[in-house]
Amino acid sequence: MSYVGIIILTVFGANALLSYGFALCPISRNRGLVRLYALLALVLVNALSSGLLWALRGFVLAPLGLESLDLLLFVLVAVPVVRILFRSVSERIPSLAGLGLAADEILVSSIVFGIALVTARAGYSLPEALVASASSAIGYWLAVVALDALRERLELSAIPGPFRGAPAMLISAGLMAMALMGVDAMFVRNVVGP
Amino acid sequence: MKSERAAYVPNPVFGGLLGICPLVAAANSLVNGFVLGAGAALSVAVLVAFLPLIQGFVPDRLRAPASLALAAGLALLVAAGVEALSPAVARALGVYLPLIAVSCVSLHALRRAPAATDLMRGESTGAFGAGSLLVEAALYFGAATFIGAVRELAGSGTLSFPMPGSQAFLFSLGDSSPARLFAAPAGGFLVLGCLAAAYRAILRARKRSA
Amino acid sequence: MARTTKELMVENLLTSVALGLLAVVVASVTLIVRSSEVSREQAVLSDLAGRPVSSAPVAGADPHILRLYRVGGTGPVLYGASLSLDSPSGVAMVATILGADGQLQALKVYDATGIRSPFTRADWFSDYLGKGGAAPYPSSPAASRNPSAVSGASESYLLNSDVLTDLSERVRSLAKEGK
Repeated sequence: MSYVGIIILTVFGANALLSYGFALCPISRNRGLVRLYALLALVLVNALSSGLLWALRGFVLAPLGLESLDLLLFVLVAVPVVRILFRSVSERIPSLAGLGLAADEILVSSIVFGIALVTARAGYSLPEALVASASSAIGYWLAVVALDALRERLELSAIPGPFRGAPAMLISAGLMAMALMGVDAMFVRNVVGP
Repeated sequence: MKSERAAYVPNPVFGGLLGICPLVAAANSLVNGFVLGAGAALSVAVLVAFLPLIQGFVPDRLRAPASLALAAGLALLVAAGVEALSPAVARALGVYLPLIAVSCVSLHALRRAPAATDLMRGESTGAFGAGSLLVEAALYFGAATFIGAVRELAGSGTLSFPMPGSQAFLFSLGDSSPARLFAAPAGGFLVLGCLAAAYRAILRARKRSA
Repeated sequence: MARTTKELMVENLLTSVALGLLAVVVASVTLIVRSSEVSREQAVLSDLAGRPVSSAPVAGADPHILRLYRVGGTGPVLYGASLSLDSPSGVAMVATILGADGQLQALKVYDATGIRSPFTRADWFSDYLGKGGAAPYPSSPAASRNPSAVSGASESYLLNSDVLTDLSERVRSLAKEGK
């Protein structure tokens, strides 16, 4: 699949929030995710983590036939490396301290782990894996922004008591996911080409 | 919002919305919900048993990565166990089995597990903390299985569960046309939203009648 | 009291050893499970081919192509492969037998999620048999002889075609290398 096809598929059809359900819990609690800073942190952390896991899987685990240990190696190697990298960058460049904090918050979560595992196991090349993980992060962020805007509308609407809050948000997310169900590999192939 | 949510917290899935990521996407059948719930519950139970040991013997600065590595190892062992029993179910659940390590239920256990010193002194908070985590894990298992059953019945018109060495359990709604939407992640969101609302309505009714 | 460097190194070493043991346990369990899967696949492929399959597997390049085997015994060169095929209705584990030219000669679903999974229908893969060698696999549902067998699952049909095309290509390259 071309890079454009990968981007369309990972942002819309295989959206990290609406198709995979990654990091669903924070959207009901953390409103900081809608900031652009959070988008930058999401994209950078995901791309770096996915790239590291791809390399670990391809060069260390695959020759030994131990691809199933990818998660353990990710936790022991990739997570500390990414954490140390962001901390040292935010210490050296004080204006990026917020980025370091945001990266620390999202690093141990299903959004980073999930996207890394999905892209590493999908058989992509390294550039494709980096593009897929970065665009997955963008797709997740777009879904969070859309749901946050919906949340504000829902808070002002006359919704029956039991549906107020998280249940209404989940149903809204379900309706958004329904709208994106038509964007599958066949649709992308017809639009963008093989 | 926080005090309103506190009343709904007892069930981790319908009340606290913990660990709902795999339930929305992958728990679209009774088997899948059962496996995800059992995997998460088993992982929490083992974490509750072993984390006090880690906290007793591993220095503070290495505790977080060591705990996370233990959770990851457990998730991989659960995935290997499921693959041994049914490769098709393991492939259907895909990355959601390893992601048990970072599900909210496991992370909750990692943060709230009692310290070894509390358990050794026999302090009630230690035992209470461990007990409440195990209850939470059991409730999660029940909720995951229930959600899987509802989605399979609505989305496929069947309830099936493979039994080793004998005829599989199968209940079928006959030749009816199921709403396949409920087997998709979009349907998972809708089902979970409606079940969470129903749970809140039941709790409110019980509170009023109490 | 401040920790000495030596004490810190000892702590790090002990923690590393413990995590290493954890990795060894997980790796051992994974390898045991994998070997039992390989045995099961070899048994299914032997049954399908009517010839023994005992060679060590070769990993497939595609994430859906799990393992490739060379079929033993006398007769034309044959290869066996285990596949994992996805669809909105679930997953099917499929055993396939291919000729050295990549033609799909036999196929059997040996595990599937869901008792009513469409993969378990006998005609689901009928359009793929006999293709992959000189004749390409059908690339759209309209090209199939039995569109109703694939209606409502266009994406899985596309995925099946892609996986089987990759599989045939891989078998041809293995045959060329003499493996």
